[in-house]
Amino acid sequence: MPTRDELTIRFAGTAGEGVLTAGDILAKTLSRSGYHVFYTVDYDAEVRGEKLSMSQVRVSPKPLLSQGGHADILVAFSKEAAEAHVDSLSPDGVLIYDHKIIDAFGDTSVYEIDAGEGRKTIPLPFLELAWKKAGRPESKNMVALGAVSAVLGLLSDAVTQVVEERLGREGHAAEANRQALHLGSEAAANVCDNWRMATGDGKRRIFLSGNQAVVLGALAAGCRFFAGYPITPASEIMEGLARELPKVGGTAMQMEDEMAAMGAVLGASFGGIKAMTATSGPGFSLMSELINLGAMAEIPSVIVNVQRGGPGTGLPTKPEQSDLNMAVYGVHGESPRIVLAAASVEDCFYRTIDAFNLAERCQTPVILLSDQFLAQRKETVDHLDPARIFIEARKTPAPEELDDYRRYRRTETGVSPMAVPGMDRGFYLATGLEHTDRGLPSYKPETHRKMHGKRFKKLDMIKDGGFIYYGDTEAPNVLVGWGSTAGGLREAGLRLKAEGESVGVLAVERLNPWAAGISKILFGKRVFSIEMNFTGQFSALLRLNGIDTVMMPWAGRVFIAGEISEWVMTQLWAGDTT
Amino acid sequence: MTGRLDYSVKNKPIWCSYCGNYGVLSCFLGAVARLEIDTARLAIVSGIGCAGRFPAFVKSYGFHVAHGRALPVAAGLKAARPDLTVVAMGGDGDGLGIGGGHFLNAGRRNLDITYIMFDNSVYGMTKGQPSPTTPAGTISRSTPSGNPDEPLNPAQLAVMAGYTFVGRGYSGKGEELVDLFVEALSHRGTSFVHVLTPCVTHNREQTYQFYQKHTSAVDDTHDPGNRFSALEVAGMNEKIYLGVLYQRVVPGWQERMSGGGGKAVQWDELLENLR
Repeated sequence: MPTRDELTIRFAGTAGEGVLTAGDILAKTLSRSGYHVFYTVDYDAEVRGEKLSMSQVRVSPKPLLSQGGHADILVAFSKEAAEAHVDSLSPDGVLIYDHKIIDAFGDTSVYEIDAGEGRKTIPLPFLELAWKKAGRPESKNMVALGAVSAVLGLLSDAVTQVVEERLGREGHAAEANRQALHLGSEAAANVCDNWRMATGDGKRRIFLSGNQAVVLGALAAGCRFFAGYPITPASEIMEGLARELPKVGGTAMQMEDEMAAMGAVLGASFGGIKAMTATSGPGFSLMSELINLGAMAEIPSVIVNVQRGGPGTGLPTKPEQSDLNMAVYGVHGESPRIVLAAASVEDCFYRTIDAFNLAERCQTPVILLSDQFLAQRKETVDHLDPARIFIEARKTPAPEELDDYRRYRRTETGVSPMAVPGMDRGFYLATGLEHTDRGLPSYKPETHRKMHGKRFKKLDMIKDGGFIYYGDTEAPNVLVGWGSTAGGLREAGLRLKAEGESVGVLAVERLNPWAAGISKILFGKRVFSIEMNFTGQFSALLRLNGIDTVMMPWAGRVFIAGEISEWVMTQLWAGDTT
Repeated sequence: MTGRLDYSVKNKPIWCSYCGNYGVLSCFLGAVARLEIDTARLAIVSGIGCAGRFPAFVKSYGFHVAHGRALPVAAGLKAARPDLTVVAMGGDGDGLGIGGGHFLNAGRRNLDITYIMFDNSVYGMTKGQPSPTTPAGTISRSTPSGNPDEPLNPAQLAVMAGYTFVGRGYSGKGEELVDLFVEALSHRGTSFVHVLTPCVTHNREQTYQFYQKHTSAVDDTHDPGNRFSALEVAGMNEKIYLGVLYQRVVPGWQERMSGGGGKAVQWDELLENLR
C-alpha cells in the first residue's frame, strides 16, 4: 500500500456546524500518534450563521513549515461549502461531502458535486446518520471525523479518546458522539487506500497555538501581572494568563478598556512586577499614548499586538500584517520603541521571553507583533525547555546610590537603576513630562536633548542580531519577510532550490531598532519582499535603509508556499525568452 | 520628624498664591503623619492638571501619568503590590471627563486605594475652560456664549458607582479635611474623597467666599450606611455638606480575587496538558 509523506485535510461548513472542533480533534489525534501537524482555521466574525468556516490539518512524519495549499481530502458539510472549496482539491484529491439536504420540515433532497477529472467524490449523509441513527444532529461533525479517520487508517481508540477529552465522556451527547464516529468510519471504510500516512516516530509532541505559546513564554519570563481587554484574536492570551497567573501568585485583570489595561500594566511595573498586555489593532491604537508614557518614564512593559485585518474595526478574524508602521512609528513625539515579531508557534514562546528580557534591560516598552494566522493556528513543537532560558531583571540601585538617589541619572549605556516602591530612600517621580535626573519637570532645551540622548542610547545595546538567514549567503536572490510568513517563505525557498534556483530566505525577528546586518546581507542582491499588507510597510522600511525590493502582490489572505515560489519563478524568468 | 515618617520635600509647589491646593497638601501631609504611613510604601499616582503635580511635593513614590489615567495605573500598582499605600489623585476634569470610564469602574473594583478628586470646577492648567462640574451658563474662553452643559455631581456618582467610602471636604476647612483624609486612608476598600478647592486665577464663581457660605458639616443624624440618604446629602444645591457621606465595608477586590498561588510554575503539568 503506497503511503504519503504528507497530507492535507480540510473541513468546510458554516459557522456553528462543528467544523473547527472536528479539525482540532483530528489534528490532536495525529499529533498524539507521533506526527508533525500544522493546523489552521479560517472563519468569519459572527459566531453562528451563514458565513463559512474552515479548518485545515496538514500532517507529515517530518517537520512542517507552513499550512500547505491544496487539500488532499476535503470534507464539506454543505453544498455551499463544497462549491466554495472544491477548486482547492489536489489533482488526485477526494471530496467527502454530505449530499443530503434535510430541510426544517424533515424533507430530504440530494445534490451531486462534480469534483473534476481525476478526483474522487464520496457522498456521505453526515446529518442524516447523526440525526436518525445516533439520535443527535449536532454530532454530524463526528460522523465526518469518523469517516476521515477511517480513510487515514487511524486507530478508532485514538480518535475516541480525544473526542471524549474534548467533548465529554458521559451523557447523551457523549454517547451520540461515539456512535456517530463509528457510523462515519463504517461508511467510509474500504473506500480507498491512497491516503495512508507513512509511519510517524511515535513521539507525543506538545501541540499548541501561537496564543498559548505566548502565555507559556510570559510565565517562563517571570511575568506576574497581566491586564487586558477582550479583543479578537488576542483574548485567549488574557484567558490563559487569568487561569495560570493566580496559581503562581500573579494577578490578571480584565480592565474596562485598553487604556486602562495599559495603565494597569505601567502601574504594576512601576511597582516592580513584570507586566504585560495583549491586544489587536484597534486596542493598540488606543494604547499608544500610554505606551509612550512608559517610554518617557522608562518603565519596562510588554505589549503583544495580535494583528488582524484593518483599518478601523476591519476584519476581526482575518490575518494581516498591517500594524508595522504603527508599531515602529505610531506615537506623538519621539520615544525609543523596541518591536519584535514572532515567526512560528514555537517562536511565540521564545520571542515573548525576549520581549520581557529587553523590556527589563532597556527599561522601555517592547512591542511583540503576532497576528491572527499565528495566534490561532496550532503546531506540534518538539520541546519547550524553560530551564534553559536566561531571564533578565531590571537594574536596581545599590544601597550607596540611595544616599542621593537620582532615578534618571545619565550612564554609559543610558540605563539608570530603577528603584522599586518599598525601597527606603528610593523615592522618585516617574512622569510623562520631560524631567531632570530626579524626575522633576524640566523644560530646558539642554535637559531635553540630554534626556532624549539617554533614552535613545539604551537601544544601542541591542543593535545586533534581529533576523535569521536561511540558505546560501552567496545566493543572488533573497526572499524577505517578517512574522508569520516565515514558514511559507522557507518552504518556498526549498521548493525553488529543488528547481535549481539559488535563493536565500531572510526572516526578520526585530523590526526596531533596525538590524544593520539586514542591510549588509541584502546589499547588491535581488530582493523579493512578501508581507500581508496593502502598502508594503516592510518594503518601505527596507527602502529607508537602502534596500530596494520587488513586492509580491497580496491577495488579502495568508500566502501559500507554492504560490510564493511560483511568483518568484515568474520574476526570475521574466523577460527570458529561452 | 525624621526618617521614614518625614514627608516633606524641598520642591516648591507650582500653584498660584492662595490656590486651594496648598490647603489640600498640608491636610494630606497632616493625615499621613497622623497615621504614620511609611514613606517608602507610600505611592501617589496622579493625572494631568494642577492637581496632578501633587506627588512631587510629598516624599513618596510618585507616578505622574497621562490625563485621566491615574485610577487604572493605581489599580495595577495596588493589585500587584498590595503591601503599598496607594493614593490616586486628579482634578475634576481629569476624573470625570477623559477619566469618566475609569471613575465608574474603579468603584466597581473596590481595591483598597484612596482617590482624591480636586474639584475646582474649571480646567485651570489650560487657562479656564469649563470642566464637568462647571455650572451651565458659565462664560469662558471656549464657551463665549455660556457653557451649554449641565454639571455632574462627583459624590453622588461615586455612591452609585460602588465606591465604599464617599466623603467630601473643602480646602478652606482644614481640620475637618485632615480628619476626612485619615478616615479615607484607613478605610478598607476604594475611598473617594471629593475635595472642593478654589482656583483663584480662573474661577470667579466657586470661590473661597462661595464655599465658606455654602458648606457645612453633615448632620450627626445622617446614616452613612444608607445609600439613598447619602445621595440626598451629597446633593449640591443651596447647601453643600462636608464629611463622611457614605461608607460600608464589604469584601474587597483582593479577597474576591484570591488565587492562593505562590507556587512555582508547574511546567511538567502545563506541557503534559498540551500533548
